[in-house]
Amino acid sequence: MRKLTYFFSLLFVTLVTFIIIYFNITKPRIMIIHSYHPEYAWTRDINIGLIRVLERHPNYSIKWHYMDTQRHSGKEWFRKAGIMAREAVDQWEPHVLILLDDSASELVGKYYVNHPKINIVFAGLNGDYKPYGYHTANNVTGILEQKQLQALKETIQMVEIVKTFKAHTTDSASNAVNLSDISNIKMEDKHNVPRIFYLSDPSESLKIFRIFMDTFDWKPFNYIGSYEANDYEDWKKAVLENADKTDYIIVANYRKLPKTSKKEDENKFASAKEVMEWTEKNSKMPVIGINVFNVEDGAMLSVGVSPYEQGEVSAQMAVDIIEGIKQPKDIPIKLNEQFIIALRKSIMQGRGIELPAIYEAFARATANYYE
Amino acid sequence: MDEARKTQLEFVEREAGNFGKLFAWVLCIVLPALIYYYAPKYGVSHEVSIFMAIMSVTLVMWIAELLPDFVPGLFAILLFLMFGLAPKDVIMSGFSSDGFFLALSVLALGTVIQSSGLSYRYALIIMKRVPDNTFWYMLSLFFTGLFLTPLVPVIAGRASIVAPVLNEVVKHCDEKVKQSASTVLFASGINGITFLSAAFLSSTPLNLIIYGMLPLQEQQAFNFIKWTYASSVVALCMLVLYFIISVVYFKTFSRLGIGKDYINEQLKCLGKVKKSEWIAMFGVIILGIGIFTSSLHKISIPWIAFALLYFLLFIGTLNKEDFRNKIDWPFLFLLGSMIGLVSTMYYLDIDDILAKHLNWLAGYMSNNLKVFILLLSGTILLVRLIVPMNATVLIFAATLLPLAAASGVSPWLIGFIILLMSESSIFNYQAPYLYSFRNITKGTVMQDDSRIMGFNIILIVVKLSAIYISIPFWTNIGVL
Repeated sequence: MRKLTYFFSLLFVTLVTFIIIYFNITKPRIMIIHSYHPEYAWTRDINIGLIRVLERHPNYSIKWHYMDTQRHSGKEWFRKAGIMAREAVDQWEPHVLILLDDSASELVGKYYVNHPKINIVFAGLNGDYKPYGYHTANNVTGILEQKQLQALKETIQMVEIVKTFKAHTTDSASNAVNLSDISNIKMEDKHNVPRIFYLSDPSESLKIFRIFMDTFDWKPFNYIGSYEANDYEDWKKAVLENADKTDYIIVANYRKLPKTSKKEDENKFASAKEVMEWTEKNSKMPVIGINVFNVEDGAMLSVGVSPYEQGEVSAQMAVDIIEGIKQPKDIPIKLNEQFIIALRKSIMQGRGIELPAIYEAFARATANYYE
Repeated sequence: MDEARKTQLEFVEREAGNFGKLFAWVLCIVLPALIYYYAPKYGVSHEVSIFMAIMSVTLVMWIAELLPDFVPGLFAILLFLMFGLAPKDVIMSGFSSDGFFLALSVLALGTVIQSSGLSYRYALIIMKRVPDNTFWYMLSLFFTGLFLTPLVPVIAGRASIVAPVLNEVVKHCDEKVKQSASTVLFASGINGITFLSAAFLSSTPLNLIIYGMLPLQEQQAFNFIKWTYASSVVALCMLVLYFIISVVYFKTFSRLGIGKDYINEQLKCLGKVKKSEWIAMFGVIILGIGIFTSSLHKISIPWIAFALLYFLLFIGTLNKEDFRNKIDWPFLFLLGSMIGLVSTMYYLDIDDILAKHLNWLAGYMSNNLKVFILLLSGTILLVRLIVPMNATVLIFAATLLPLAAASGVSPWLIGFIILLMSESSIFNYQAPYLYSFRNITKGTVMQDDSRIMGFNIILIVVKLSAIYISIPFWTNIGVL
């Protein structure tokens, strides 16, 4: 009797062990590799999108890895971050690898192109995906991140329309406003056409984006050009010197802005908050961002790519692959469709800028409204 | 020394200790008040001021050893909760972390290995097969300690296994060589159980604390295998240098004239391998297999260890009494508190504040690591002259691990150096955890303490050299 009890207890342990091992081996595994650090607003918001989808699949095993290539840069850091990330992938062999932003594809993704067991879903790629070999891969799909310049242009148009409308109501007490007024703003008089100027830091990803900015059709506005600041001092100079030459300053990112021009400081970056707050305080012209986090940093208004969409779409693609609904090669690479408005009311009021209430409501609904 | 003078000295020592404690308690009252009052004047936020005030009390308690180590840790956690410095799940995160369950399981397995008698049997078998020479006994004593290092996660536990073996060896030595062999064998015994502690994740509770304090990603990377792999070059260099220096420094190698009868007697007393020893062996093998095949079964190592703990409880090898009495619960509470403390630091962005205010140190860390290693090691050695090992590790780790993460330097590497250097001791009083070793061997092993002290100083240089030699290897594997 005692032996039988002993046998059954051992049988129980053995069975439980095998069930656990079997369950863990067959459990769907997703590894999410971010190019940046978890506290970065863009990364944080992509994670919100990812979780929205992945929390519906509690049976998945999910691992997060952050390469932190925003706060640290330089060849050495990239090499180290790449080794650590690839080691983590090799160790865990996920069924799907979700790679966020360019560095993750550069340092990890291109090593797993056409891998027999690992599928890749990328998100947040600004430019071309060919450098990573994705165009020839049958295990890769994803969503691109193209800045919403059309939405940005329409928002500036709206600012101008409201401005014109207000001027009309003051002058003629007329309540009517023609939405096409903006296209007629004394186009014949070049000086009165609102002018736009783009300012960026010297990062590689913004170099590519600068081409998009420079070639975009900004009509009816007058795009006076762009400038890549070498460091924080240079940035300040550009803001002050262009004060009378432009009506709007557009910014994307300034996290790779070296504090000084000294060679030894090339990897010491100015605080993003400090840069944005200084810019907003010292710029005569309104500063508009094209990333949602610009307003969190201290800007007045931004029209940015939705990080939630990047997260949700890439997570849904991963789910479709894991559930066997589609193969990566059957999922077309998507272009982002959504954008987010973020605004800081106090600065808008300070500059006398107004937008229809729907903008504020949208910003509030997405938790991107700041007093 | 006459009895009266001895009593007088003891009285003076006691009074000095009492005065030190009195002064520390006064500091516990004054320091937080001063910090809370003055910190905001330097632009420190309200929450961070409170955090700093609480930490100042905790540090004083640790340094002055006012209370057992885990009590100040719990005190800090309690006050964080009371003052609402972070959400409850952040402050209490240590008690649900992977590190906590890993530590609990490793301690439980260590208890079974030790109490089953398996480790003592192993030590005797090794001694039985050793050729009768000081050099071979030195090697086998050292390697016995080293073999036990990853298996018995407490230094005192390893001491209680190796010290009796050393006693027996010295006791059965030829009288002519006993005096000279004592020092070299003592050094081997004591260094075997301590010298490479930092090289294995499971060798001391402090290693597990450092592991628990690492960022989650770093924890996943530096599990058992990677930890040992990353420290392998340091360990190898230390081993080679240790034996070369031992031979050169002690120069007393000769035949010991030890008969093996006493070992046979001891083994006879132990009898056949007991069920609990088989289970302990099985536990070690299963954990080993689990760790080495983790890339196949995809189960996290802390959960494999936890499953093993469950198995030991299930079959009764670790019974309710042992579970209650033999597991070092105070250490586990200290571990849980430390992880919570670091999580709270991250929550309050104190890592960024540290990086900003210790900019020069962060600069050395990321731009001139070689100088930083020297600075760090020197500072630790100095601090260790007056501060106990646990407090030293906790203070340096709590400050430097978040700073390393913010500066882009591997927190594991900094933690490893802190562990390696903090474990160094020159004087006996610096290593109270070796009292049991000294007590057991007292009266039998007549080592020359001044020679041991000189040897310890050389070993510090060995450790530092090994770190520098390992830098290219760390660069190659992506740690640097």
